[in-house]
Amino acid sequence: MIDATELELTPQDFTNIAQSMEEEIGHVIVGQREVVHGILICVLAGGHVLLEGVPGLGKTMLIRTLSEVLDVQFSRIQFTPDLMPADITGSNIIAEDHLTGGRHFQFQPGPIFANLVLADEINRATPKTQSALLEAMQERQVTVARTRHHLQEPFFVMATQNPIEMEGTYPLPEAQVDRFLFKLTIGYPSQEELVDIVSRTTARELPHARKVATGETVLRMITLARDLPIARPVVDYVARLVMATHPGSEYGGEANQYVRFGSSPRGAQSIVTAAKIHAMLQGRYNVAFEDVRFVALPALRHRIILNFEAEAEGITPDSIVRDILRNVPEHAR
Amino acid sequence: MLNSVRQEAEFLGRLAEIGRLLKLQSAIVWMLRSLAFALAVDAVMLAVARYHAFTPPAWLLLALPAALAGVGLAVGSAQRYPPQIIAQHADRRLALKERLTTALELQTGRSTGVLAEAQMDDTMWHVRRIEPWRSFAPRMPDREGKFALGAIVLTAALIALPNPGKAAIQRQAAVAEAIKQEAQKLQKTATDIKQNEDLTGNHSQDQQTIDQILAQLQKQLQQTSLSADQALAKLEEAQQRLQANQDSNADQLAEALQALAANFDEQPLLQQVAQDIRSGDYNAAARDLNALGQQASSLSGDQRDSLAASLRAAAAAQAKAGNSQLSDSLGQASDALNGSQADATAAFRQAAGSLQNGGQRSQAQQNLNQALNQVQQSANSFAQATGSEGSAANSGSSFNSGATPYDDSTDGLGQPGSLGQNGQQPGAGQPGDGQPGSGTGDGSGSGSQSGETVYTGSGSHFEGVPGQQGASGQVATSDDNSLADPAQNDSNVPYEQVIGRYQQQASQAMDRAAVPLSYRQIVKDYFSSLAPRR
Repeated sequence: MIDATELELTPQDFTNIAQSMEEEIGHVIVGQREVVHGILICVLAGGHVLLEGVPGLGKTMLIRTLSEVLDVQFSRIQFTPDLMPADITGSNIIAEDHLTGGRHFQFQPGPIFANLVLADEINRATPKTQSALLEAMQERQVTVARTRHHLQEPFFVMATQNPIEMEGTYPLPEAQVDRFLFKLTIGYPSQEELVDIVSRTTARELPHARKVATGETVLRMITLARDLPIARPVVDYVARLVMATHPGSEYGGEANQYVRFGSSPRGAQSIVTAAKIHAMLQGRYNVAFEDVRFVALPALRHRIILNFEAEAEGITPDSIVRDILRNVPEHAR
Repeated sequence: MLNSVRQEAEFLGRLAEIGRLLKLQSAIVWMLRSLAFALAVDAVMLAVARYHAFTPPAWLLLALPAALAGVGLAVGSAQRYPPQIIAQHADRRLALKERLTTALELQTGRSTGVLAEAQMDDTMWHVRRIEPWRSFAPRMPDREGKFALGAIVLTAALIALPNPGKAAIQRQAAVAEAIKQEAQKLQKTATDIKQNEDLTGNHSQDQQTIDQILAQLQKQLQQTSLSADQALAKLEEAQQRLQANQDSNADQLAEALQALAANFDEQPLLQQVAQDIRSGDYNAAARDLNALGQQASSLSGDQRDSLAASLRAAAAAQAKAGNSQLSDSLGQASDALNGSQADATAAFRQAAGSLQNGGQRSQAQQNLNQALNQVQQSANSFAQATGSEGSAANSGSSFNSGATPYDDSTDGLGQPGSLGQNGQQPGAGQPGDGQPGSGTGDGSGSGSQSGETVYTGSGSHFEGVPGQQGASGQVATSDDNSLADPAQNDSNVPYEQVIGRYQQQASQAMDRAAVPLSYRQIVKDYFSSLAPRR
C-alpha cells in the first residue's frame, strides 16, 4: 500500500497508483472495464457516482471491491421504502452520565459518516429519504438538530439503482441526480466474461483485492489532478457541449428539441474535472479533446431531462449526448 | 514552465517553422482556388461565346487565370498564423492531443507547478520528434485541386470542341451590325429631310409625321438584343405607317406643279415664279406670285391681258391635271386682273396660298418617299446581311413585292408603291438572293395606284412604267405596257416628254447616293430600256 504522506506525490506516482487500483479491482470484477475506469475517475476526482443496472450485475460487488482497494472507512446503506433520513444521517439519542447520573442528548452518527458510502438500491427509498443525502453529497456535512457535523474527507457516495421502470422504485430528485459526477450504466457481461465470473465465484476461495492506497493518498491525488493544465480551446469546447444540451441552443442540432432541461454548470465542472483524471490515467499531463469526449456521456446523461416528445419517440439522454458530440465542433467556427 | 531559455526558443522556433510551412500551404491553396475560379470564369465566357455574339480575346483567357493565381498567391502568403493557431494545426495534424496548445498557454502564462513542468517536458519530447518538412510538406489540396482540374478540363473542352452554334452567332453578329448600319442610314436620311425642311421652310404636319416615324424607328433599332425578325417587323411597321401617309394624288400634284412651271416659263412676268417652282422653293414662288398681284395696277393693259391669258392657260392645265384648287385660284387671279387692284391682290394672294400649299404637300410626299425608300433599302440590306429571305416569302405585305425603290413624284421616278394592297400581287425576292417570294395578297386591289414598280425575283431589272393606271389590282409588268400609247393607258403626259427628265433625276439621285450601289446598274438598265426608239 502506498502512503502518500511518506513521499512527494509525482504525476508518475499518480498514474502508477491509479493503475494499481484498476488492476486490483480487475482481480475481483470481471469485465466492465469502462465502468471500473469511470468509478476510478470519480474517486480521483472526489466525486460521487451513480451506478445503474438490473439486479445481479455486480454493482454492489464493484463498490465493495473498491472499498477493499482503498484503505478508507466503508459503510453500506441498503435503501428500502421504509428507510428514514435519520437512518442515514444519524440522530440524537439520550445518553446517561455514569458519574453524575444526568442524562443528555448525544449525536449518534449514521452510516453516512464514512469515507466510502455505498447507497445500495438508492431508488427504492422514498424521495424524502433520498434527499437526506443532498447536504452530505454537496456540502460534505450533515445537519441534525441544528448542529452541523462535518464528514470525513475523502467522502464518496457510490449509489446503485435499478432502472426506474422496475417495480417499487422512486426516481431520484433532479437536484440529487445533479450531484453525482457520473452516472454509469452496467450492462450484461459477455459469454466469455460470464464464464469467468462463474469460475471465480464458485471456487472455494473467493478473489480478494489488496489495499493500494490510503484515504490520504487519494486526497493528494485529487489535489494533484486538479492542477492539471487544460487549454482554453478545450474549455471552450466543454462549454459548447454543455450549452448544446440546452433547448434552442445554437450549438445543438435537431436532438435538443427533445430536451426539456439541459445540463447545469455543474455538468461542465464535472466534465473538466473528470477529463483531467482521464488524461492523467492515460499518462498525459494536459487535457485533450478526446478526454472530454470520453467523459462527456457519463457526466451529462443524468443531467438532461427529456420532454414528452422524446419519451414518445424513444429518444434517450444517451442518444442526445452522442448526437451533441457528433455535431459540436472541437474548434469554434 | 520551460526549463531553460534554450528550450523555450526551441519550442517557439519549431512553431515558427511549422507556421512558415502552413503559410506556404495556404498560398498554394489560395492560388489554386483563384486559378480554379479564373478558369471557371474562362469556361463561362467560352460557354457564353457559344450562344452569343461574343468572342473572348485569347489574351484575356490567359491573363485572367495568371492574374488571379498571382492574387491568390499573395492572399495566401499574407495569411497570418499566430502561434495559437499553429499549435492547434500541429496538434490536429500530428494527433498530439492538445499538447502544443496547452504548452503554449503555459509558456505564455508562465505557469509553474509539477504538472506544468511535466506537461512541458512531455510536449518538448514530442516537439523534438516533429519533422516539419515531412509532417507539413506542401501538398496539393484535394478539393481545390479537383476543382481546378475540372475547370481546366472544361475550359480546354470548350476551346477544343467545335461550336455548333457558330453560324447562329455570326448571323446574330451580322444582324446587330446590319441593324446598326441601317440605323445610321436612317439617321442620315432623317437629317437630310430635316435640312430640306429647314431650307424650304416647310414644317407642315405631314413633315412632322415623317420626322416622328423616322425618329421612332431609329430609337427602336437602337435597342439592344433586337432579333432579325424583330428588326424586320419594326421596319415593316414603319413602312406601313409611312405608306399610310402617302397621298395617292401626289404624283398628279407633282406633275401639275411641273406643268405649271412650264406654263409660267412662257410668260415673262411669271418666269421667276416658274424658276422658284422648279427649284422647289414654293415659299418664294408664293411670295413672287403674291408680289405680282400687288403690282397688278402698275402693269400695262397688254401686260395684264397677257398675264391673264397665261394664268387662264395654267388654270386649264391644272384643271386637266386634276389640281382643281390651284386651277380655281389661278382662274380667279386671271379674272381679277380685269378688276380692281384690291381684287387682284386678294386673288393673287389666294393663288399664292394654293401654290404654297400644293408645293408643301408635294415636298412632304417627296420626303415621305425618300424616307420610305430608305426604309425599304434598309430592309433589303438587312435581309441581305442576315441571310434572311426577307418578308417576300410571307404574305403580300412584302418589302420587295411591288415596292418602288425610289419614288419621287416631282422627279418623275415612278409612283409611290403600294405594298400588298393589290390582290394577287406577285411577291418577289430581293435581287441577288435568288429566292423569289411567293406572296399572295388577300385584298382586292382598287387599282388606284399608278406606276407600280416591281422587283421580280429572278430579274435584276425594274418593270413597270410611270403613268400606268392599274384597273384590277393586277400590276402589269410587261415591256409592252411600259411603252404603251399614253392614250391607251390614260397617261396624262406624253412619255417622250418626261423620260429625259426622269433619267436625269435618276442620275442625280445616284450621284447623291440615294440609290444603293447594287441597284444603280439596274436603274441604268431600266432607263436604257425605256429610251425612246428613234
